[in-house]
Amino acid sequence: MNNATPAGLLTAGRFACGPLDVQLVTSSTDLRTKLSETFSLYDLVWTPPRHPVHVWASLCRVPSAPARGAFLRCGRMWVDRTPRGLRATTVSGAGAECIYHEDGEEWHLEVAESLVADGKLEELEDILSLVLTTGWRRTGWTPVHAAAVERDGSCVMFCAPTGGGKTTMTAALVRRGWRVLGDDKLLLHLRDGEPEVAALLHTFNLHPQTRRWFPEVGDLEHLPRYSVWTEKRKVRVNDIWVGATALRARPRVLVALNRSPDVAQAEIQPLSPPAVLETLLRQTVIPADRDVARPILTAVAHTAARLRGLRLTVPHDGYRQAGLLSRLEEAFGE
Amino acid sequence: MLTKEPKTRTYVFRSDVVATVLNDGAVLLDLETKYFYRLNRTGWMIAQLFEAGTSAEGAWQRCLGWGSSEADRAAVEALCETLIGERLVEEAPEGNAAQVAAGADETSNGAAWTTPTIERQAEPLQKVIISAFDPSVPLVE
Repeated sequence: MNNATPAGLLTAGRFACGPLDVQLVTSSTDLRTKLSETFSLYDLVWTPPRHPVHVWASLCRVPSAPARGAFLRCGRMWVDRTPRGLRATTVSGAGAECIYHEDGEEWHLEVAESLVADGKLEELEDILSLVLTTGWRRTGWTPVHAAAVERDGSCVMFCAPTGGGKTTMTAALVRRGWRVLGDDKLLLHLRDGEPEVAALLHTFNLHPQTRRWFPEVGDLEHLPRYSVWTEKRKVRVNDIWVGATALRARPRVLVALNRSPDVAQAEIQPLSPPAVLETLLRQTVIPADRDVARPILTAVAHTAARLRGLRLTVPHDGYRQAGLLSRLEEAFGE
Repeated sequence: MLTKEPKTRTYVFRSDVVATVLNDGAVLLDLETKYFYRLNRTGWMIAQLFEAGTSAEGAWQRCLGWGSSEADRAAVEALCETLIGERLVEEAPEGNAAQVAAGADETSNGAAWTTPTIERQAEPLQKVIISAFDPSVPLVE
């Protein structure tokens, strides 16, 4: 891969995002601040070798022509496959071209000056998610939107939509001696035919109201918001629960977590194998490209086939119910 | 029964349908519709015939060689009908039929015959998602 920095751009930072070695180059202070902030969320340094990803970011006057979304359609970003890699655009005028190399990726981000002027740089988070997930997939890992905890070699994954209680459940179990791999973002692959999940960051996205259940988190209101889209604050797990983190584990149980105001008592039920597969597929982004989709489907389907499934429905304040977590731990071991 | 399409028409899998093989069958995912399907082992044996290209009648003849009986015919036809009706397979280009015999010889792999099944998941996966990492809340398409 060509590592030469185009004229006028300055190296702005280097980030170890899981198995990736991301090098950011830009001459814009605004872009450097925003992009560095997002990349540096991934605070775990994996052992080498790491997959090189070069990101060149610059400002432009004219927004990129919109992509069609043939590869991926997100709420604020559409992505197409190109002969050399990928092309993405966001609704407010950021664009990115990716060139695949055998030994990494090269990304060229162009951000309309109007985004900086209007303070809409949050939209770049979508593009950076694409940068990272693309690199992770090309190193054989499947990104999964799920939480995972481990204790004594037993690993449990929790799947729920955004706001569905993954972080709260994870924190509740950490207080009982479980170690967290992640509360929201994990990488999954098959090693020797068996599923393995890996941690990307050891931070929790905690809502300030979490203090009602777990007083030790303290007053979170004074911390900056994780993003403009949420009330949650980013908190390092080890700052609150020292030593309560793990890097890799082999999952054995999947819990489909559902927070419901319609139940008075928490309910734990078995989840059928087809439901386990569906739950895991619904937490995994699968682009509409057969070469990209096939290994994702393989990793997810083989993982689902090896997981025992549970459905946990909890009332809003369910974590306070005496005995819930003991019942749940019993169900893990059955 | 196959009523809409002649049983001898040759079909192949669409290029944007991907599969993964499991111990007890396979999972198919249609990248266009985002529906996914679970097939048992015999269902996958039959579906594999469409990788090289086959007809419903050709699939049935192959099943006879794998130990099926007349009693299984309706299930085999139903599976083929699902593959065709759901547009997981499409009509093969002219001349593709010649590949059928060569492509399907080793498909059974010694597996015991059971009634083939294919089940489509009730709801498709999300087509429009929150972000490149988070597909969990479907957005309006």
